[in-house]
Amino acid sequence: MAVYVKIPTPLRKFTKGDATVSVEGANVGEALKALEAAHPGLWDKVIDGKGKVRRFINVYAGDEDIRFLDGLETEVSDGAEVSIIPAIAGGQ
Amino acid sequence: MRDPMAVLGRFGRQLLVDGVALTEQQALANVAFVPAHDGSDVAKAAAEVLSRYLVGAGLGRVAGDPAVIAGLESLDSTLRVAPSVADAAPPVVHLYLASRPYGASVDAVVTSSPVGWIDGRSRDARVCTAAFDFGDEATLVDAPLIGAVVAELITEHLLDLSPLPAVIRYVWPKNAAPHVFRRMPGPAPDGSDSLATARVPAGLFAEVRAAGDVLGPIYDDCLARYPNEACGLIVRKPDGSLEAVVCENLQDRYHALEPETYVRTARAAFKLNARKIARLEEDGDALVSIYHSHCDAGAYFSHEDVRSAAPEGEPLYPGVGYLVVSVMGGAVRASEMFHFDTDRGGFVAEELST
Repeated sequence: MAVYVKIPTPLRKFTKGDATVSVEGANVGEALKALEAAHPGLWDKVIDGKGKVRRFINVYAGDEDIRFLDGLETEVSDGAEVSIIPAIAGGQ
Repeated sequence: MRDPMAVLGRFGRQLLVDGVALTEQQALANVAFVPAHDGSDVAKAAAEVLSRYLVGAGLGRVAGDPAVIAGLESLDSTLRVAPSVADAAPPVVHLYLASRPYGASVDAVVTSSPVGWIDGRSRDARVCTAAFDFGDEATLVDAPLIGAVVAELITEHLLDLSPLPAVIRYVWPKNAAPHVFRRMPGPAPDGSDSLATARVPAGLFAEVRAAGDVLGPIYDDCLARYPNEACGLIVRKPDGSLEAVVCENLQDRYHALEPETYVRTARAAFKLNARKIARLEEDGDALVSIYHSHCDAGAYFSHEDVRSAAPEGEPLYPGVGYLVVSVMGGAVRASEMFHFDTDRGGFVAEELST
């Protein structure tokens, strides 16, 4: 099942500059593992030691942050778009 | 004794805040100062200098302590003196000056109610202590410097030029009175003190201010969201013009989901849907700035801002400016545009003058 993973600019050094990488996977976790196999180093940039998405990274399935779905277990359909995007956050 | 007004003459700076001259900006200020002293001549003289500077500059009003404010109105017809502490308009800065064996100390307590602090009812007091170490007891000669430095400190804070650390210590050897800006290096609570006074050349912010119709929607959003933080983007359209894009602050949603990770609520933090950028870029827009507001706090780049924008020391959005808008008491007080400065390795505010 083809999933298109969008890579943010700061992480494109891992993908030789590619903004989108096509991988196989039935859920977000599988897609990210396939991404790691193709471009080693990306997993650690996105996922922390506890297996959760890093605080300052967001992973979206479509337009929704997977934290509000089933996390890495979030199922994706053929042709789905998974986006890795640095968080935009802050506070006083 | 030195002429206090000669000392105050060092502060003849012209600043622009949001393109408005300092004097106009100050006229908008709504801050009351309540100076108090411990009865010593030094502390009283320092309080007088402090009050003259702050009120004379139009930064606010002086209330209370008749011994200090007596005669202030006669100095300048533009001075505004509140009849009593209870008439002071919040926010209120309570200033307690004391002569110490090593020099002097000034406690500045900022509260949102004029009398709450005195009654012990205020729940939101913020305190900054300035300790002046002269090696021995302060004298009348030192009083104008103490007053002027504290006035400058408060001015910087009110204009959001720099955050106030909890404690600032000035060490001045006798007969070597320093320039008043020479602050002893000390860590600010957020570690940003060394970057707080630096500036990068005017650029994006000057363009945003000149654009005319970009800051308006942003300020409206900041006021509408108060007392929660507002957030959004500034994009450059394909025709080169700038446009504000108001976004929803999703912080409360994240806080509800993972309160241990997202400790703060939208009252003191923001998080926006970063997917928004991808959609804008599909339309040919380019992200140039991310804005958010600080509620009842200055327009500084906080520790939370730094660790969110550059969690590993490198900016997540290189080349993007961060606009911080200070909203206090329901009014926009100031705004600053911060850029990542690779030479300094941190975020530095953009020069305000053009």
